[in-house]
Amino acid sequence: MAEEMSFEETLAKLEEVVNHLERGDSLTLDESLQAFEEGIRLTRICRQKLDNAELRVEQLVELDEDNLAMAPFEPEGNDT
Amino acid sequence: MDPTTKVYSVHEITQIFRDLLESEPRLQDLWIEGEISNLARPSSGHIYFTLKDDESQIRCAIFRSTASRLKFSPKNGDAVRVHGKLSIYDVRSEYQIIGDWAEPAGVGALQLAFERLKEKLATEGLFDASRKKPLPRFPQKIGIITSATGAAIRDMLRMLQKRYPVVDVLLFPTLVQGEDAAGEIAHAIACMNRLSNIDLLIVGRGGGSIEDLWAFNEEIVARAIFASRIPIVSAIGHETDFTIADFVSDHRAPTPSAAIELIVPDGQELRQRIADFESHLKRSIGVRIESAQARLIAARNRISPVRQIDRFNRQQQMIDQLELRSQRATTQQMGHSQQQLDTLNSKLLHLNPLSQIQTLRNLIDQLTQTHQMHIRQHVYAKKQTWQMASMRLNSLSPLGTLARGYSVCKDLSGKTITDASTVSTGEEVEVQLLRGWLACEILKGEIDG
Repeated sequence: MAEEMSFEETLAKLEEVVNHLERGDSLTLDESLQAFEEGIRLTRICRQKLDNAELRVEQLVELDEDNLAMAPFEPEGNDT
Repeated sequence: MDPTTKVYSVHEITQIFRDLLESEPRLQDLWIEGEISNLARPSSGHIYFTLKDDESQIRCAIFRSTASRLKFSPKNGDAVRVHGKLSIYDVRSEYQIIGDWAEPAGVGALQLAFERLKEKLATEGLFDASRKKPLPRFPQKIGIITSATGAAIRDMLRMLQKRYPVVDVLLFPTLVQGEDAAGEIAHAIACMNRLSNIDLLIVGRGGGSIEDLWAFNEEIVARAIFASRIPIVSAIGHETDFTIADFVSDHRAPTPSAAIELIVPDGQELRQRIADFESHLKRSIGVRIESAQARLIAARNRISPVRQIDRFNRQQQMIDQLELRSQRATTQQMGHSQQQLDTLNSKLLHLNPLSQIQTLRNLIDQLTQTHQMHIRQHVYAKKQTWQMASMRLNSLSPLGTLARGYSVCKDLSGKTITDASTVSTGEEVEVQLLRGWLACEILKGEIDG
């Protein structure tokens, strides 16, 4: 399901849910509660994404004129 | 002394020497490089100075017409390259360079090349603000073109990890100084542009001398940046270093670390935004629940029968539970496992339609009662009206008169007899009573008084 959304998409979705709930006078109570719970779930995902993210770094390696390959990259002297 | 021996005047010697010098082509079209000292600029507009290196020095003159064309203003200590010819200054029998061109050498030469290229590219429109591409708000994949071993890549990755670690980084390692660097950088920019998913490029390196940064002043790099479809942020050297690449790129960051601050949002700000969204959610749902409660209370006040109250209490309880549940969801959301939340969610889904149905059912009950009451009232009113009408009708009807003992007498043609003189003795008449009629024969008729 939505777990594979990027951080940006998740944040945008959260914003949408918040607006929906804030403006949605036509929502039934049940729909409101569903939107609310969805929103809370998205805030949690956003936080998790920020907290747990490991920067993914790759480098391009030129095999020959026309061919590039990806390889993992570890910065030298990374003392952090 | 032999009287035939040729004795030269001083001037003749200098003339011979001049002829010698001027017949040697190598000395008539030469470049010479050295450092300026003893510079003099008399009011004539000519420039005189001494060019020297570690071992020798030579006088040099640049006449006014040339001096006015120079792209720089020579001063003592400048390393310069002078073009001209070797000549002789008769007055002192001193040989000197007559310069017809001079330009800075070393760092000065680079500076001059920089200014020339900058002017050229500016004229071509490579720095136009209208050609600058905006930065994406939330880049997902960042391409970085720099040395794999420099301080720049380390600084940038560290800063990314700190601020906004949800991005992917693709490094294209290149040389960033030396003769081949410019070509590699331009090639890397072109290659990155062939990839489909790069949102943004950073081209840069850490600080260094002007020679170290020179690759970023090369035209080939400037043109590659200009041709890039992907927005480019330049991040070259220190705050005070400006390169051609900085002018062409869509955005200039003063340093590699600053480039990261420029292109990605700050994690702290994002956390604040998420917290804001969360409080919006809580406020909205609070308003929702309050208005549902208000509706429920209003509905209860409209319906009086005691037996309804239990049902409403049950619903009130249900709504209270929903509210508690939503409060719990907000306070525990961080610690809750997905499974717990899903269970709560499905329970809620299970409960909520019930509450809706109950509310609607109550409304239907209430409406039905009201409706039946209306019908009863209507029927009663009609009945009242009918009874009144019927009584009035009764009082007008001849039947009422007959009931009081009067009767109606008619002849055989059915005509009511109201005058005794209209009938004769022996004639048959009909007498209408309240119930039934009589056939009678006239025995005698008499007219009153």
